[in-house]
Amino acid sequence: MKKFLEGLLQASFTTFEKKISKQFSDIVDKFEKVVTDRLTKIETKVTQLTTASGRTEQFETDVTGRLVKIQSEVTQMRTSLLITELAGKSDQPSGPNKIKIDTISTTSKKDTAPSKKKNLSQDTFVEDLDTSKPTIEDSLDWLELPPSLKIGPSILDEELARRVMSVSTWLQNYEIDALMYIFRERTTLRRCKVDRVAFMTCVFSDLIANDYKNFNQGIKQYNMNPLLLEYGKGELPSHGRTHKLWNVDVDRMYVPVWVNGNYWIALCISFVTRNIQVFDCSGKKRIKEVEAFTHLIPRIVKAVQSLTVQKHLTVSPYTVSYVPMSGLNR
Amino acid sequence: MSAAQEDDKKPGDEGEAQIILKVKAQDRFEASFRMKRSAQLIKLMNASCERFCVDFNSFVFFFDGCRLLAGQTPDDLDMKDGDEIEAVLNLRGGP
Repeated sequence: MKKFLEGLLQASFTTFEKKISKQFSDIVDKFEKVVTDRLTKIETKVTQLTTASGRTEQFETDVTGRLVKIQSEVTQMRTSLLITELAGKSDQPSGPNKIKIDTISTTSKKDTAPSKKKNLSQDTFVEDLDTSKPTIEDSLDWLELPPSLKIGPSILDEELARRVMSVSTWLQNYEIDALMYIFRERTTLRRCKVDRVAFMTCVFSDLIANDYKNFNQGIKQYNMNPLLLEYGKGELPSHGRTHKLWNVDVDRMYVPVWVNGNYWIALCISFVTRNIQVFDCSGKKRIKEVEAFTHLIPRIVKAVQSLTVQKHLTVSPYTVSYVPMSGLNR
Repeated sequence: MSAAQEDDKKPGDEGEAQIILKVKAQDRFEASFRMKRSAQLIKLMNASCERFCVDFNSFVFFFDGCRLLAGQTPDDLDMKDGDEIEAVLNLRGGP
């Protein structure tokens, strides 16, 4: 019985072993087949990739070489463009040159691999154009004449500057006012280094001259023109209003004065030193129109201050000094 | 007496139409004046120079871009009520 059972078991085991070994060998075979297939596939892919990498290296060298060429060409074109546009022919050469750059970029695109060349060539292309365009425009900005500025009835341009600087032309009051406006604006915008300086107009000096007539009729009946106080507060001149109070925000001011019915002089009135400097090209010893300023300016300065400061200010006339202008107008 | 004066005024006012004109000077206040339409404009110029405390000779007057002459009247220039006349300082100085 035992032997029978052992024999049965062994027989069954052997059959089982055989079956398992068969199945196992089948599986191993299949696995080997699959693995070898896949390996061959991978190998082919790897060989493809290696060849491809060789190609890409070639492409890279090609692309870099061509890019260097393109960059040198572009720099040459840029220099030629700049030269031609400096010479004054701005529109004509720029068109064909731009087209040339475009064609070069497209040809480089055709040769190189699609992913890389797009990045490389386009980036460099865009960068070059971006850097070259503003330089050309900047150079053109320098060449353009500045736009002429209209100030009241007069236009600030080379013609007006030449008229003012020349020795033998007659000047209208609005031409002088235009230049005083330029000075005023430049100091308020802090483009001039001078600080605490005011610039008056011919209208102001005319107002002073007329108010001085009333002043001469009697100090007791004299009432100051309220417009003069507006000038003291910086509310006037209305064109280029400064809002600067005399003797507080302003130390000295320049005034153009029309004298003798036919002649212009300049005054520099200093509130600190209580002195008026007269700039007169004709070199006169005494000018009667300046008297009005010596008497009226201290009164305006006192009238516009606050009450606490007013107490300490006197209305005694300013001193006058004539600045020697040796032969400026001869 | 007073009645007679009023009678004198009334026909005058009705007969001659009046006009109100504004005068504006550079950096100065505005002033308005009433005058007869047939009166010469030199009256207005003198009055505005007095009002502005300026010298008559140093100012010129413009209406609608044209310089006013002393002998012209509002009727000549077809002025309307409230029209603005510009007074501009005009000084000239040479070497």
